[in-house]
Amino acid sequence: MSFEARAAVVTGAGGGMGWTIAAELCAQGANVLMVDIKERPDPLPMGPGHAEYARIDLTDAQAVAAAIGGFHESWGRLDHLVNAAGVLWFDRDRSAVEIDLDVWDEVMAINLKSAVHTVRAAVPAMKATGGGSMVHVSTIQCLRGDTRPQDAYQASKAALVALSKSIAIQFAGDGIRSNVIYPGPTMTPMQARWEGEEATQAQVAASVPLGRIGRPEDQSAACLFLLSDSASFITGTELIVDGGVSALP
Amino acid sequence: MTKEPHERERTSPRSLAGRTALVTGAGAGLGRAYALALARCGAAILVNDISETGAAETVQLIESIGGLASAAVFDVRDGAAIEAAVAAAGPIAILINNAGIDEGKKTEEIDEASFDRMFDIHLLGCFLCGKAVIPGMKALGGGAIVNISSINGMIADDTDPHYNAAKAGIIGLTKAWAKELAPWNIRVNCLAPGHVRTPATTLRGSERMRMVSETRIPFGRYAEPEEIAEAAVFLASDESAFITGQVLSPNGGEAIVGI
Repeated sequence: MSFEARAAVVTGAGGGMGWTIAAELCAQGANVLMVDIKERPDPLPMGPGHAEYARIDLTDAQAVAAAIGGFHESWGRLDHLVNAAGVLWFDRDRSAVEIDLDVWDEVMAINLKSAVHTVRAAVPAMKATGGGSMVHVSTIQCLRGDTRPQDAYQASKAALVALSKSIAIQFAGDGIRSNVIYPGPTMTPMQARWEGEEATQAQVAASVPLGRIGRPEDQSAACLFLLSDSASFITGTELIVDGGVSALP
Repeated sequence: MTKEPHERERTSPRSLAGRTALVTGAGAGLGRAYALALARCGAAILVNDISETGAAETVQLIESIGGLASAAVFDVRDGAAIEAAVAAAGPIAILINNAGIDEGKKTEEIDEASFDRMFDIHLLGCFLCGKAVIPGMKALGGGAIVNISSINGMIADDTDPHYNAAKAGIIGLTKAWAKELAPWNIRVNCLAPGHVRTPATTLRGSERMRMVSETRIPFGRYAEPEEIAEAAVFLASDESAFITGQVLSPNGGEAIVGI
């Protein structure tokens, strides 16, 4: 187990990709703090690592600092941070020219500023034990345009990439690595609109060169690679996990 | 809903048991590191190099850790020799297109023969080796090709323009093959290492290594070949099952300051 005795914080771990990443870390021996505003899933991952859950609002800087601070104190270390929390509101997140500006602010707070909160809490903790690694979950959607836009989602996820690069260079000397994954189409609760829609699923799968929609496990495998010591010389990069979608012209 | 990890039967997605990997230029340096790392994960390695001695040494190293390996001495520019070696080995599930050279020359020192040699070893070599293994990968129901580019395929260096251009070409080849071969579940990705401590880079002297480390690499050091090999294993294994057409660059942060 490559994450044995490591301590990891995963946001957005109440479901979907965040849950899978947290569960895989736990299965590989990490002690994991799962953070989400969602209700605590029952059961939490069984281990062999220890999993605990903090139901907090990630836009609340003090709550994030307290949760990560307490977790760091109880394990005496913080090795990994995964920022997987994010919202994609198909109904309210629209073109910049028509979006309700309060919705814009709310999406930015959840998708971008929450990562600032976790990074502020994590960096000093990681420094204290000689370093660590972070992965931030963006989306291939921020590499392209869309005639049916979710501009707040797209812009917030692009900003996360810039934040990651900056963190990577600022703290390289402290042994902290920061990288991004760009998931392509992936079957998670965020894409609940596809559930039971066989024709839509087939259409999406056909648009992916590898011929299928991604599984949360595809994303967690890439995330865990970048978190792990196997990626010890990789920082400030982005890894596209999209079945080849973005290799298309 | 997918099964939770503890409910699933766990087989390591990193295991390469039962797969044969062709690693070109595996007689020394990074190529040898790729071959050893893949062998540690259970793959049988077809160790290619133009140097018979180098290939034999790598085979011996793999066997000494209990791995399976055989040597295949050919020039990656020789299509007939590649085809013959692949036919003898049986279907190849993993190809690491690593064979390469550099010259340390400026433009006015590079004649046409030198330019052609640079392009032929890198681009034609990648192409011919890929062409030779693709039918076998199709027959196997899939495969993984990892083309070795360089950070210089993305961010240029002021020396060896033909090397920079050839490495950029490898990225283009990768993306084209990713698209062409996805229907057969053949994934094609690119690894673009930054500065690595190899016999070749060490030859340039510790003073240069120190200067480059201090001024260009946020991590302040060269990578060890083993660190780069881990990334190759990731791209060769089912851990990256949904990744194709991508460039992964272990560079210690150099790409962030390099642009």
